[in-house]
Amino acid sequence: MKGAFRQSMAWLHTWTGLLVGWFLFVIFLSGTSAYFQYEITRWMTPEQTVVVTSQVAAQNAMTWLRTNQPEAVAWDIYLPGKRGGPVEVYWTPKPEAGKDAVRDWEKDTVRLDAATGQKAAGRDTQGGYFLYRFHYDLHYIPVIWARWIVGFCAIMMLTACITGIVTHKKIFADFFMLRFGKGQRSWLDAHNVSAVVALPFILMITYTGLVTLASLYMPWPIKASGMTEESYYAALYPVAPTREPTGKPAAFINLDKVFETTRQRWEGAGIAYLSAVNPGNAGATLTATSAPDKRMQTRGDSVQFDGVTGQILWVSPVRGVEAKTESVMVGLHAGRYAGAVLRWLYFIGGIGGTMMIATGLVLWTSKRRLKLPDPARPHIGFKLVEKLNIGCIVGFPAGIAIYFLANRLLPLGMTARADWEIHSLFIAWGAVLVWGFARPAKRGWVEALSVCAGLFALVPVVNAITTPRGLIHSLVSGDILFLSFDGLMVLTAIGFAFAARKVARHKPMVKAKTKASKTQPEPA
Amino acid sequence: MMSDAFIFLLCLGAFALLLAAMSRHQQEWFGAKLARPLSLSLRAGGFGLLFAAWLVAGFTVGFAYGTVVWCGCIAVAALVVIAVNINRDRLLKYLRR
Repeated sequence: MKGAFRQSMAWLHTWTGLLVGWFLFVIFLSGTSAYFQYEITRWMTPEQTVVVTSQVAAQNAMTWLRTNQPEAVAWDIYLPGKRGGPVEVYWTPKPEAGKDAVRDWEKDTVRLDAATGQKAAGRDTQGGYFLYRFHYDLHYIPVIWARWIVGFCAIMMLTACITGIVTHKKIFADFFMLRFGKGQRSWLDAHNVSAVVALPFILMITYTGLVTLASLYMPWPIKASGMTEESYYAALYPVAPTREPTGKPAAFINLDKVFETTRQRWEGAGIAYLSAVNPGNAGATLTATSAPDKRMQTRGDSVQFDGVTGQILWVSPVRGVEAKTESVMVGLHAGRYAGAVLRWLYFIGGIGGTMMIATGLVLWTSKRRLKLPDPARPHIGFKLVEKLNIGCIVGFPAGIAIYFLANRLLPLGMTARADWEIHSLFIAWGAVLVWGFARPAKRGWVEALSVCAGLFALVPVVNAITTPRGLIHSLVSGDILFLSFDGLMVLTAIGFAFAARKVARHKPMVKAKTKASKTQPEPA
Repeated sequence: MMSDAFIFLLCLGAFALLLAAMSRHQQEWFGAKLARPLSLSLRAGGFGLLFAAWLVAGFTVGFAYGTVVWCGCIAVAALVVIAVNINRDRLLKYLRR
């Protein structure tokens, strides 16, 4: 019974892992990069050099709106956090008489340089935000489909994690074991070590990832409790009441007072979002929502001020324990509360998870290759897995390198430039995928890994040629962000080059005929 | 930052003790298996240090934030010990020189 149980768990682990492994690899890697979303965006907008406080950014945004959109009936300002980035402002134009006010979210917006309060100069890019959104919204397909696909993969991942703990029974006995150059055994070691070391992170991130979209995946409790989706969301995310304009003009409140009040109320947390209704009118209101930079809960608290006197009109109600739990779980997933050290620890956990998936995928082929009737001529299923492994494990990182290179190389004035940066990623990824299918497996691996290493090595070089913020400048001026980014690109390049060298020198093991049948097989 | 480093060092010590408590690694590092009571003490010491690291994390940065830092630190500390263990022969050769 015990053996049968473990074997069925092994089967489940193998096939759930394989079925969605390529998706999971891509989701994990892009999600891991999202821990440095703002830093990536700053690297991808090298023209913006100064980081200011959100208070200065808010004042600048307000000045821009006052000058450029004085007639608008509503202003919304999305502020950068302590880690920098641009300010996004939106407005709702004054409607014609008798018509309702409507905002065009695509048109009625501008991205401002937080430090100058002017339209952000330089390149049009989505920066780190694209990689962050890609890890759950994917691209080129409707968002809702993407979230269902990602949710399905996450459920499979959770299944693979739990069955994996049951199956790889020696993960704790072999905790410190990592033996190189032993074929399948080495891949199993690498899979076990990356999994067991990053286990707390992997379990947490998969479970909380599902929680972030729980009401999409499990809408039935809303119906069962007699609520509609509208009333459910209204209760979960309460919105400040609206107030009619009076017809009298009045000066808008000083933001310094708003920042001071909210800082005291929220124990030092900053403001992430400001929403002004009827600015410049005696009936104006201003609602501030807290940034998730001081506590694990990710959902912000809101305070509504009278837009003229600064008097507090409304505060968002205290959350119930369920909503608080959800908010903490989502916060734990996104890690927005984390300081620099913890952010790096999150990043390392993410890389551990990514390595676990990659080594698991390779282990599947490594384990089965020896059992093939003719390893030189594998069957179609084996070939497909092998080629998809090259296409995803090397192709997607190569795509990311191209995404960074495109950011530096595409002409600045190009139409739809930000879109083309993204298209470049997919074109490169597709090219590696096709290359992997076209070449014999070993050569496909070596060539793809070498190209990928070369692309990552090119990133700091191209950065130094195309911007004044090259590696030497960063060293001299102590620009830690650019130094870390360029350094990480070099490290990644070395990693891929090392892998290419290892594969190139690899000599296939001779088929083992004895031993294997005596011991219970380890799963792949 | 200082407390992070201290938590990390405690975790590093913990995994070093846990490694030394395993007979397979005792053979490799010390050339002989250690007596069972000693192994058990090493294991207890390892888990004790992990617990101490968690307490330090909790009392310095708060138990919510500290627990997450601790989870990250145990992962990195374990990786460092694994890396040292892989390079055991090279390291022992260097030390004997």
